[in-house]
Amino acid sequence: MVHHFDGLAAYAAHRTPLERELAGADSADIDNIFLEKALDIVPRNSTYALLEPASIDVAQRSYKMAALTYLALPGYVRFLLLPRREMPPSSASYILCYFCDTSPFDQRWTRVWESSDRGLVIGLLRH
Amino acid sequence: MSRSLGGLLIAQALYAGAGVGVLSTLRRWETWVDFLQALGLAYLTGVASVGVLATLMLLAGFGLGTIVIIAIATGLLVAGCAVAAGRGFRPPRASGLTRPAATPQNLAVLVFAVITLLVLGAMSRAAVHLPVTSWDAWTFWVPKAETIYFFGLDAHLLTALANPSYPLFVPALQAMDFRLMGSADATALALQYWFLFAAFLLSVWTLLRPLVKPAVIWPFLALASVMPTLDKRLLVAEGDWPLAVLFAVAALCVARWLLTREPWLLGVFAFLASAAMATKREGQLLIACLLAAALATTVRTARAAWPRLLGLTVLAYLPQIPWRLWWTSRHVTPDTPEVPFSRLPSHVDRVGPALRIVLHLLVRTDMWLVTVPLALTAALLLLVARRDVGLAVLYLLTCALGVVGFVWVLWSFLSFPLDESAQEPIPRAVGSLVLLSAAFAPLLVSRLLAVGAHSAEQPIDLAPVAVDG
Repeated sequence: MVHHFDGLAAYAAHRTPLERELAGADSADIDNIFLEKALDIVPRNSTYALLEPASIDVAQRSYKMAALTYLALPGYVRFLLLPRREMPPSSASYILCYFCDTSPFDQRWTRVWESSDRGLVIGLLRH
Repeated sequence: MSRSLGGLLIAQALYAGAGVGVLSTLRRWETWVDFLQALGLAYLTGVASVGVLATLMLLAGFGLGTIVIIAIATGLLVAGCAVAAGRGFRPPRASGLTRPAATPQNLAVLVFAVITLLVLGAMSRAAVHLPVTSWDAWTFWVPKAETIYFFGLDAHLLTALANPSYPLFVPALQAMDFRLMGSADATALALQYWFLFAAFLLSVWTLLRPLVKPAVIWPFLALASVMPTLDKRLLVAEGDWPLAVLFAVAALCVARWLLTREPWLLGVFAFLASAAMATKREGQLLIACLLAAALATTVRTARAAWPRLLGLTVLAYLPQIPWRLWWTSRHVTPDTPEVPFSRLPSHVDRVGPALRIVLHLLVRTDMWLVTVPLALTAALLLLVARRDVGLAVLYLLTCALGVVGFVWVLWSFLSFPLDESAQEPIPRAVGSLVLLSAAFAPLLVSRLLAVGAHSAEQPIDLAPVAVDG
């Protein structure tokens, strides 16, 4: 029992505040760099829309994204990014794209960051 | 010390101060030692009263700013002390300090107390910076608290989260912690849960001390502190454990009241019951079970007991009404059962498996060790061998009704799988009945073995003692 708690304490002690903040993402296999960049890029008083693949099937088949990740992502991003407010893409300032279809935004956003495989993108919309 | 930690500790001090105020209006302390020993119960009462008032403030359109939190807590402390003075309750004059003798019994107590403290100490080290990793915690419990912290009662944001009609007590408590920490540092919230559990242990000790010898109390407190599932899930920032703590201590207040009829105990029960009902919908179910069991236990003294039990429970429920009006007026989908009562018979095939699941979950030694079987055995023996009906009936009936309630939950929510996985709430919900068992077990065992200080008392409902007032 005591060992269990000492293990938890040691785990937390060897991590930075940001790593501790993102630890929940690991259990859902959400990309930590994507979350870090979202925290860094989207201002605290700004708005965002999170976009995923069209369905769990597409996520699994085309992007090898686990169903758990697909289901967990919206809630986890909302938890992590508050006070940034989630909005529909039509009224959001930023698009957080997690293997989403980027074609609707190609003409009206600036890609602020993208992963090396270009599957994860954070873009600033021009309204 | 980090700012988050400092703020969280200040929040706990404010809750404890508020609880001292509330408790001071209800009872007097003979000695300073009595006062210090009641601090755990005072803290829980403070968390309950500040938390419930905070939800009402939110619904009245106020934010939970630092000034509001301090005003609620110090207001309760000052008003409580003023009422206490008005009732002629003076601060204690005697210290009450006594030197414990080095008897074998006291040494045994020391061993179990050290085990409990070691576990609590290790738990506190883990709780200082614990990441939020539980699905429900980051899906809606903590985001609700963050929303309240950043925006107040923002209907648009709150109703967009999962389980929007869940009561606000836990998010309000977490939001107040955030406010005093100066940031929404969710990794510090585990320490709030540690304080609640430590207060549970202290409260059980405080409530049982006059009735049960320490050598019977402390083994069960040690047992409660090493239950595997509690240790795995206690620090998770959800609503289940706060509910379990509030419910178990509320029930223990009723149990002691049945034995001693000290009026202040029902006052504490009312505050804790109100907070339990404001924590989760299961809280209303469990308090209803407790009330029904208490009414059944006191049936022979119904004229004196029932108006108090019923009146205080209704009072405790009243703060839930504004929240209900708030979410119904916003057309939030309620968390009511998927199958209404009228159509339950067509799903009767779920009852058997549901009952097996609930009963099995309660006696799983890999989750709770032998806490429930021990308390159940003691209660049944007390009932059969000693014919000591009051306490045993209160415990057994509360548990039985709780089991029926949880079976009904599994029966009426078709989306819940009929298994013991984390996808359905019962593995967490039974924790309330487990903590109830941990709190009642020393009292049941003590009366069974007739080693308690008041073991010669008559069965509760046959001869209520004269202090009934």
